[in-house]
Amino acid sequence: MFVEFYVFVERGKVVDVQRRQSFYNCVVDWVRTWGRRTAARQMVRWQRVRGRRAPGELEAEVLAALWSLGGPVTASVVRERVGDGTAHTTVLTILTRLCDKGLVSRRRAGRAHLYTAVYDEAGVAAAEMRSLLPEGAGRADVLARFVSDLSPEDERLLQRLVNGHGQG
Amino acid sequence: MSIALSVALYLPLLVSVALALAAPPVGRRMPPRTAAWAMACAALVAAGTWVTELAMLGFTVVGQIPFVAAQGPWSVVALEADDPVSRQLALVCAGVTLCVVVSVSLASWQRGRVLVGAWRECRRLPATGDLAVVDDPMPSAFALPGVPGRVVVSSGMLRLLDTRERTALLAHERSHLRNRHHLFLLILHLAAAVNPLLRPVAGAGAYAVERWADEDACIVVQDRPVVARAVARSALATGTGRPGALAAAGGPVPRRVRALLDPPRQHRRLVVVILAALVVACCASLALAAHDTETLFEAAMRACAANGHPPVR
Repeated sequence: MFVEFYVFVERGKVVDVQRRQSFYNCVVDWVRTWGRRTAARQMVRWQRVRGRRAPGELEAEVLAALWSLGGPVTASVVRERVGDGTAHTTVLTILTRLCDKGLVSRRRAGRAHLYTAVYDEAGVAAAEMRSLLPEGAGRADVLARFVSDLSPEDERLLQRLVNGHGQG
Repeated sequence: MSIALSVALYLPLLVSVALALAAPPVGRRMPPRTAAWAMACAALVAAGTWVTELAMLGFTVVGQIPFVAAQGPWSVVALEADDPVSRQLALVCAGVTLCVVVSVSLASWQRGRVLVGAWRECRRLPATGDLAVVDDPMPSAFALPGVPGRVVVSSGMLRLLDTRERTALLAHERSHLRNRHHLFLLILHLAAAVNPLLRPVAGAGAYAVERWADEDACIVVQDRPVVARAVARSALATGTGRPGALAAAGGPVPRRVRALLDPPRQHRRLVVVILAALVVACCASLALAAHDTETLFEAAMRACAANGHPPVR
């Protein structure tokens, strides 16, 4: 969840930071700064800066990190993958909670536990996995996918962009 | 007088078409969030004006059916005499209105069915917070609106991206949910169903919505090239699908990546003013046409009351 701050940037330097109080105050501020915004001074930009994470968000990121690792791993590897300076105990708590929910399985290996992400431990869900993704049942156009299909020309363009930026 | 009347009756159609043609180039010159709102408003106003005007034109001939005229009551003779619209044209307009109503109903029903089906299936997925993972090697991710909304990601996508790119992906999809982009897409799609001339507007609006989510992801990750890499690598891993016949700048994905690699663009107030002026002109022309149609029917009703004729030919 976003805790909304408004960062006023002029010419690359932060001149003001305001916590979003109310829509009315923001409008008043915006009107007040109208006269100062000229072409010579760069336009004041409103940016939202992320505040504290909501609790569900961190659980989601731990699960995502565990899925990205694949096989059985220890909690410290997961913590490394999550990044962002999360505490080890926090990651452990979350992994335990995910085990209780049945999203993660764990087995003992020496002193530590090894965690694996599992799709459906209890065998409850009967849905065909592929049909969920937007390709199935005409969902490709309705649901907003992260990336749409590429034509061959698009693929070449994209390769060039990626390589060009990597070298530049 | 009747010439002025007929101009006023056809003006909304012209302004609506002008809005439909002007909106996409204007939208390309706006920052994404403004563009998304602008395209949605333009599509709504243009489609609404188009179908309302066609309905009014069609009603000038439908109103001459004795059964309908009896509901008024208004004199069919007077209506037929004063009607500035030729009979054939009015019949065509009435037919087109019917087609539009049918096509919009079909489109909204089909979309609703797809969304409800997807929501019902994904409800069974185990989820943590707002994330649901599907064990599929093919990289794919989408946001499923609902109460609460869910981000559905495949395990292939999670394995493909590194930590910061994953954060960017989740931020992008969460932005879709938080800003209720499915409503924008629904309005744009239905507007395109009303008037096929609005399909470019719907395309521009959908692209602006994706760019909006990309910009929100940039705010979270604070690093534009990372988001660009996430988009590019996911797209390249997904592979080629249907062949595209799109703009010279490439399809939506290369344009998004290029826009992410460039610094964010400035906001130009002039383009917003231009589009707002067109929207207001559209509404004003519709109000004018409605007033003229009302005058026409009122005159027919007065003729009916004055002559005491029953509303039959």
